[in-house]
Amino acid sequence: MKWLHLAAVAFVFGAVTVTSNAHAAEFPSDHTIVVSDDWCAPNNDGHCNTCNLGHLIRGAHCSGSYCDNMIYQCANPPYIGGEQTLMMNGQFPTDVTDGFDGSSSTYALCPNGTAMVGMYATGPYSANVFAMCQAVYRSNWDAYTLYQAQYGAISDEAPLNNTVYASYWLSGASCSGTDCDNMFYWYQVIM
Amino acid sequence: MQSHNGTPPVTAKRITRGQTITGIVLLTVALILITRITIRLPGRHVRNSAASPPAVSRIDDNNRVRSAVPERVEDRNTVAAWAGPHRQNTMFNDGMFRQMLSAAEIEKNTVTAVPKGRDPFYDRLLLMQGRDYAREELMRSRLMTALGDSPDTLVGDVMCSSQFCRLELRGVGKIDVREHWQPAITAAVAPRGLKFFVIAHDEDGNTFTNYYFGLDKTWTVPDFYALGMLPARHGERHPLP
Repeated sequence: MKWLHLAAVAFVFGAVTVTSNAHAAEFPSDHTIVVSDDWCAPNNDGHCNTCNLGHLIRGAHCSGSYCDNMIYQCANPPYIGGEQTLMMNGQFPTDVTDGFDGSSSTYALCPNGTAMVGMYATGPYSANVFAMCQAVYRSNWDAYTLYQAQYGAISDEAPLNNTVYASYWLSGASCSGTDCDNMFYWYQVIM
Repeated sequence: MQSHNGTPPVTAKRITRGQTITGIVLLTVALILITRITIRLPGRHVRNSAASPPAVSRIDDNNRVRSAVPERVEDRNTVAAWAGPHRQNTMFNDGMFRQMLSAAEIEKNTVTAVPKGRDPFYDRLLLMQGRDYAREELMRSRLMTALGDSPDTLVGDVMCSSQFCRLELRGVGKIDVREHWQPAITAAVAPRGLKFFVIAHDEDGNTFTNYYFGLDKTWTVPDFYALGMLPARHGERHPLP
């Protein structure tokens, strides 16, 4: 009987471990996700295109030819005015954009008040990209204003880490050049 | 007519032809001068760039870029308001329309299909909720009172639903939206709940922004997913391999 009990515990533990690995998104060491042409790291199992639940993307840089490996810094939403910002509702995708749309394209832009929580990239050298979005929750917006603007190009020749402001998150991407070589990111900041 | 010795009066005939040619030349020159003066006079002030209104395209309800040339009386009044009352006498002659049209043609070829400096999700939501024209007039009036006299600010579209509004401002050069516009806007339209600026710059470095703000403190981030407002063309543009 005792043997049977131990077996059941082991089975449950194993099942939980397998499930959590299948949905593990961020690298546990630095909380980044890496998205590239039709795949993502760390597990390359199709479940790592988004940050862990409750996180949003605070920064980005890239490596590889045509900036095809995009590394996103996942983190907790900002703590502002004595209140922890949270994430709510379901995740949803933006439209797809590519280098032909140019840097001013808004196809892969999340609505204001939502944050980019993931990214998908397909095609050779991540030529087509779209973002995953999720709503940001605050109990009261009255005292604060949200600002959305766009960062300049990030490319494999000029990597840039965007995690500068405490009240800051990314909200979408656009690109220009061959195979989406130069990545541009929108950000939103609460002040 | 012949002379008494039978030779033709060559000298007299040559003088007559010369006078005729000179007369024709003088008449032609006079006609050219008159024509040029007649054409130039009505459009002379067009050359004064300070009198020209901004060639600003506008985005219609279907997210299409509209020509900078005003199409209705209300639009003309809006553009006139941008330029200020002292310029209204020179606003809408044919020369200026031609100038604005050419600027609009240039802009039409360079502007992207998706409007820059806007949030298409909120734009669509506003139209879904239905426009509140009376509130738009009220907001526009307050905004013109607050910013209408500002020499470096152009007040653009104002759109409202029953829950939130959007207003558009443009300014010359790089403008700090937070310092330059926000206090005046906040005092004029009394925003409540979720409010945000979308800030963008054109190719010449001028600033334009759209300010979306709630009319009630309960206004917050809509659940676009639940509203079914997924991108309409997701996966259909540039088919993925």
